[in-house]
Amino acid sequence: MKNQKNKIFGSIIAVVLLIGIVFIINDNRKASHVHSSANELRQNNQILVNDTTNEPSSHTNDIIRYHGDLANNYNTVTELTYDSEAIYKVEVINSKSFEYEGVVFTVSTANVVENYKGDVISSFVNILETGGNYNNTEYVFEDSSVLKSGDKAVVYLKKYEGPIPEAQGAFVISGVYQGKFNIDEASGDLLVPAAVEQQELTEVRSLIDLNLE
Amino acid sequence: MKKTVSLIAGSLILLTVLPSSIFAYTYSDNGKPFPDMNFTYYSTLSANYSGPASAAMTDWSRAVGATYTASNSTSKEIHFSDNDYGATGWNATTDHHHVQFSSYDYLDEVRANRHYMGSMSAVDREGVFGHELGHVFGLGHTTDPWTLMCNSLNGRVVVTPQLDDIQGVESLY
Ligand SMILES: [Zn+2]
Repeated sequence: MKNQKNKIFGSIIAVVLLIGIVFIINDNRKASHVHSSANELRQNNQILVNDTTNEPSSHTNDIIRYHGDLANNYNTVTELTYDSEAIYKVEVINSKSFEYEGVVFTVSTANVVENYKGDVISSFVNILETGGNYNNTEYVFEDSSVLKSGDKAVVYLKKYEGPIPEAQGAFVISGVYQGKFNIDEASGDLLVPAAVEQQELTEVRSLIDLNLE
Repeated sequence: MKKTVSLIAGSLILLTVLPSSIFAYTYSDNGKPFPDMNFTYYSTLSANYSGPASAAMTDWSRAVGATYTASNSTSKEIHFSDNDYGATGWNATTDHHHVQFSSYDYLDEVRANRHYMGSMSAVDREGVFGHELGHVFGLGHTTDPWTLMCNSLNGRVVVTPQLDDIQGVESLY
């Protein structure tokens, strides 16, 4: 009798476990789809509608996305702060996109509004980003659009070293996009992290979260 | 009865603790960019890069049965190249282009950045190319360092496709 009871309970538990696992799997599937469609929405209205069938797409490409393997990955504000040579609040004056060896880059000239770390040699800073608008196509690195004229942002920067002529003396965003937090004036200066996968960075909403205030 | 309650409670706890992500894999570019896993490629990689790229292709062939056939410059699906882009923050990038060019429907550009990859070991280069080839399938990033699709070499601890990467590809193709 006791044995049978145990068997029954055993099977109940097995069923509960099974149902639970199925739910988790479904949830995960959904989660990743929601995640990607949310990212798609981030790309303003220019959503690249490219169905998953294999028919050749007849529409023009508005967005080309770079998927990159990062040289340095930052998961926390501490890592980002420690590894960056400069941390500024900037206001972008102008941006220029160009192509170098097949890759589209943008150099933005920005006013340094606030200096949190690093020496400000002048009140301006040039920022090199991968991606930009070039030949009627928007090039986006992962989910992050490059800075554009009028944008305000808190940026974690490293000196650019390399052959790109337009980028001599410029800085790059630490972690390509991870060290970029756009300031959304419409929402009362809430910070919008460019990082979508790094938990702590993705959750940043204010200067306090960045330990800058 | 007590035993049962604790068993059920235990299994419930187990359920919540069970990997919140049984699958870590994600997709990019709305999923499947290629009709199948039989790729043609054209490589302009220099000597230190072509070996690791080939090794990465072999890794994916073993893992999911993909094929990679060398092709000429005008009818390729994947183009491998390497250049010095400087300290841009990325080791390599992959991007999908569609039609607009010519006879082929899709073209993925896999670009290695010598600035960072120049000082890597052959095995690390293999890992970077393998990661980029994961993007070619249409995979996105994970934050799990035990997957090839983890988004950065400095966090990633594997250089070949792992179960999760394989499951990601197999659910697409
Ligand atoms: Zn990647």
